[in-house]
Amino acid sequence: MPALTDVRHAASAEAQVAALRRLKNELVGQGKRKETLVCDGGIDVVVDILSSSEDDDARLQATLIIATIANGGPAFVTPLLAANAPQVLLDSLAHDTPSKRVTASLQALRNIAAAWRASQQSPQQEIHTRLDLFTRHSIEVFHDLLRQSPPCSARMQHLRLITDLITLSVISDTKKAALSQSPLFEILTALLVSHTVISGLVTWQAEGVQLPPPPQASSVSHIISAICTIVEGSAYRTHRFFLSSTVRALFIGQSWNNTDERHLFSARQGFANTGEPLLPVLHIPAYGTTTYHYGSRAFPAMAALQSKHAKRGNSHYVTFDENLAPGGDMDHANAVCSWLLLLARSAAGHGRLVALRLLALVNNSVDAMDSSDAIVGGHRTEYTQKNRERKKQIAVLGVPLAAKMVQIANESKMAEGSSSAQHADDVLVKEQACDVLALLIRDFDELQIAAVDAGAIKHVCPLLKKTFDPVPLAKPMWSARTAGTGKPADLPLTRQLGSRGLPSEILHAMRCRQSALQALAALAEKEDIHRKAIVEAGVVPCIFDALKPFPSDYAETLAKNRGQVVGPKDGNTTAVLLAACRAAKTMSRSVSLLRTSLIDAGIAKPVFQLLHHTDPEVQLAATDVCINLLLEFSPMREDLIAEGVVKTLADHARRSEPALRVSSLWALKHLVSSSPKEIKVKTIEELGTGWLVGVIRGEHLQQRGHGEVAGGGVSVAGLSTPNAAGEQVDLLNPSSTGMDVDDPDDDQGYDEEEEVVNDDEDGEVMYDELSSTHYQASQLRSTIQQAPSAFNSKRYLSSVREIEQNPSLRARQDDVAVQEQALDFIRNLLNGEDCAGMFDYLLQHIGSAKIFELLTEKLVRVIDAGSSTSARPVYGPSALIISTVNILTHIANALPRHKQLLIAQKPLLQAWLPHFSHPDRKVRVACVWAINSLTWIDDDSDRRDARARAQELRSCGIETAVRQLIGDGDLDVKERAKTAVRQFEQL
Amino acid sequence: MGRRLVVIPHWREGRKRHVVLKLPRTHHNWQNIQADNALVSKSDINWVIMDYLVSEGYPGAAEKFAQETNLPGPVDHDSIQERVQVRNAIHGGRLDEAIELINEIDPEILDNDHLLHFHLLQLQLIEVIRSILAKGSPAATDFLPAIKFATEQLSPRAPTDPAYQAALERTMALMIFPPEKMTAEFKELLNPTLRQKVAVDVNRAILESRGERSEAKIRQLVKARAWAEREARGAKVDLPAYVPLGLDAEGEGDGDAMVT
Repeated sequence: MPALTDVRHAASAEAQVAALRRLKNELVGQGKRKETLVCDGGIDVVVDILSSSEDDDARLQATLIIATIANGGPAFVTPLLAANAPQVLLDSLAHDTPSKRVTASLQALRNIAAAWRASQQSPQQEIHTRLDLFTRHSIEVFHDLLRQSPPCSARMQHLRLITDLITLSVISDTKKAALSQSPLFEILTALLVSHTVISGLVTWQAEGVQLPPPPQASSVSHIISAICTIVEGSAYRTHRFFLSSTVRALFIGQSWNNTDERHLFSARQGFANTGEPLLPVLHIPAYGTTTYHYGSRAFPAMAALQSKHAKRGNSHYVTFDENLAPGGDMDHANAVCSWLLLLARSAAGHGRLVALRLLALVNNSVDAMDSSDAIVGGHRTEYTQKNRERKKQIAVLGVPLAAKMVQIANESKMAEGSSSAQHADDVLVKEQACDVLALLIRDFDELQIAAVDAGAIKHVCPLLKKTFDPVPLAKPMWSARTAGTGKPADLPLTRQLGSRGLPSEILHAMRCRQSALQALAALAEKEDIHRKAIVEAGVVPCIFDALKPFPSDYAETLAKNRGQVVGPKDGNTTAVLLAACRAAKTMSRSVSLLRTSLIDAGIAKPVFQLLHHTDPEVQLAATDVCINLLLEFSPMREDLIAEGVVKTLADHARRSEPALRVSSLWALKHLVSSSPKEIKVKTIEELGTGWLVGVIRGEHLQQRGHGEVAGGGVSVAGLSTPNAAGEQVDLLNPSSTGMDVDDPDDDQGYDEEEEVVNDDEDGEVMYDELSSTHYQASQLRSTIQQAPSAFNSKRYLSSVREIEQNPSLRARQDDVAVQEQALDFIRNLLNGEDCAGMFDYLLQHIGSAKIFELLTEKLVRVIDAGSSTSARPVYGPSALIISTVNILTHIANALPRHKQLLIAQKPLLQAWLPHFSHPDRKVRVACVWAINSLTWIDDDSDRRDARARAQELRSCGIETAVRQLIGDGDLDVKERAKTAVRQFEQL
Repeated sequence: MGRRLVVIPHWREGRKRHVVLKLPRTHHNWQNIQADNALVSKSDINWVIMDYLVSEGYPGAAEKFAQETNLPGPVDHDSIQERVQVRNAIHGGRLDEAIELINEIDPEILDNDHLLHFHLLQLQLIEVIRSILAKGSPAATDFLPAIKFATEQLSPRAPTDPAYQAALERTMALMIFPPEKMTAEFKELLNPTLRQKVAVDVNRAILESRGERSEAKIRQLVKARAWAEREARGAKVDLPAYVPLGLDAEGEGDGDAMVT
């Protein structure tokens, strides 16, 4: 290229600038010339000028050229990264850069990030490079740029570009965490608050808090989108957003005159703080008669077996210490949700979607921390009521809005005449509407019903089908020169074009498909009626087609024959595979569908193939589907076993990723339930008895150094009294309602903050229901009755993070989940006709002493009474106790000699006794069932032994314990206990 | 007597939820609407005018208007000036200059908007051909610069879309017919109004690239009004055959209403 030669050999600075300008004009809109420039070594030249030239104009032109090259797409990512262009651009920002060049640099970075993002979707693994735009230093630079912003249009453009950079390039959890602790995040939040105030939605009354000048209305969606990107994937980060000082001041400012007016923002008052309600006022009865049903409609009887507060994760056995009102400050959370609803309603298009996304994230994170089990007495009703008001409001005002967006996405025709900005907006709505709906309704059956009522299935299904329409690819540009195809491999990376990745048309279809599948997965989560409606819409074949990955050389094949029409069934990106697995998982929860449409669609085979996918996430998702496909009544079980699923799952179970281990064991647990003996034996041989015993004992965990655990129970230092003095100081100092740990002047920086909070001894968490329910009672009351300003957001935040991120706690939770599955695996092994045979097998391969030692271990207390830490003994999580007792029941159901064996285990009986008065009714029921089995008389020859067994139970105090359960409050427990007592008496 | 309000829901405009058509009760006194203009505040109207002057690029007029009406003057004087320069260059047929100016403002505008880029290059090709035609009875070789320009600048984009190809072919046809024998279809290409149309598109694209509203408010209002009238007629609302926009001075003929 002549212009490039001129740049290289420019005689003077002016000549160089002129040549650069000419080069830029030649490149704009001419993709082929950009390719030629790269091959001619242009990137090195331009980056070099940018980093070393003294001339400001030359650097501006160089920056613009880099921006233009990066705009060419994924093929240019490799050479640009090889030339270290992102870092050079970031460095050029660090100095006192003129505004015009700042804009150009940010544009260049944004283009690189966008191209990089597109390249990440490619089926080729080797081009997945890292892009790190948010270092500690660059975050500061970006923050400075936003902080000094007077409201001129250039600054506003900087704001949009920086937020886009976040949205496009921040993927990893560590980056998100670093950003959420940064002042940049706070300024984004403050800008959103400022926009709210200037729009007149809330009157700003917090005089002490300074707000930045409001952003342009068109920037708001970019800001929300960046906030969503940062907080997504962590309840803690989401809490950091809505508990940040500015957001709190938005609502708490109302209570300056000592009255808490925040109820005005609630669903019942409809955001009425400025007089007129800005949202429709909802009438929600104080004590609703709505009954929520838990668990499956297909198995109403199973409801009793499921926890009433079953949540994602295992938070049900994690409770807060007494400083932490569960769920935090509910008035504030509800006000925030109303606020986000209002923002969503006042925006359109993509702006509305991102506001709904943030609403979903906030609601989900409040719910994740909501462990209402821990609340006692009359406060529970007030708390649940507020919780319900929020969900009702979202069901009535939020979900229909999201469903409407899906409808718009489904019906939009991408009008030709619309402006490019409008077109870009339409594309985003099409790609994200379903995803936002999914995020909003996932885990909430009430919201899923609201979504279906709003016609979600009707609009999601055609949207999914459309993504399988053939895609005509744009034809390539023509060039007078025939491109030199022989590319010498020894050129430096900066002169080689990278892979083009997938064409943008296909990426768009993939994003739409992924998003629609997410929505299906969420809609089919709880209700069988929804699943049937989805089947009737005829999308099951689509789910099947979405389970097929792209061949790894797909992008190359496409590149060779561009201008073709791409077939609908060529394959899918990893993101689509994950979403398809989720949809298959929730759809297969329906027994009738398993037996009809899902088997007709032949869903087992692609799922089995995905078990061997290279991506561990896909493996996990496929295993999750297998859990349902391997159920006793699933017609696909035989096929999967024939394919060799036992070996694959056993291999996965032995891997170290906890989630994969849990799912694999879960699937195997289903597989052995009511299987022929050969399958059971084959499975346990595949796993190895020694390995299984090790898992149940939690041995691998101890090896990893979280040694304080034995049997999954937990001891955490100091269940001490709250640090009252410290709390008082915080209360008197209003600034501490903010997150002053993030003080920008704090030299310790973001990472050290972790330590600061960890040292806060009030942040500890109790892990055991037994003891925690006891000591929480009186203290909670006081927390709730305090004035709302007394809610200590800093302390609450630290506990939220503790629950989410404490590595030893997480390891422990993972381990408990694994142990639970392993114990249940043994239970299912013993279940069925060959119970005795299988138990003999276990006795033979593990040894009776070892088995009973293992079971005893699960039942004994973890911490002795009167030890330094607790006044009460602490036991392992109830899930493990239930699983263990269930195994006892099955042993007791085997042959009489097995019963005798069990009754001879004195230490086991001793350890078992306290659990007959366990606060969890499910534990008590399981215990009584086991006694029923133990006291059962098999035949006449067993009568004498049975009497001896009863004698033994009496002598160790179990009979008395059972008799006490006759007066139990729970009907299930009571009836089983009656049977047991009758059986005792018949002996 | 008095006005009749027809409220039509209007979803596509985002925040704006409905358009109100103000109609007279009877067909005879519809001219009374003019008197009802007092319903709109003067400052709102001034704001709309100011907005028009700024976004369409009339900095001098905008400043004078600001002085007369006590409105705050335009904020970004430079950015208006940039757009004025681009517009003048396009109107003057100096397309190479216009493209360079646009790339100076933000090279992404033309890099992303292929259609707009193509239009500008097409105009430039037309200018090249025009200058050759202006010499009178050109020989075949005289057209070489035009063919070179088309090969280098326009052809690469042509195969990507049939529309580009057709436009390029039509433009190249200018070299075949002598001007006096051209059909209207080709004459249109030489007509300066084509420049004006492209200039409007360019102005909009520049505004959009800055995240500003891409169109003067008054254009949106007029469009909304036209849309509302169409909907109302579609819904068989009783309307007079012609409802003037009311932008004309009083006493002017009805038929002269400004239509955009």
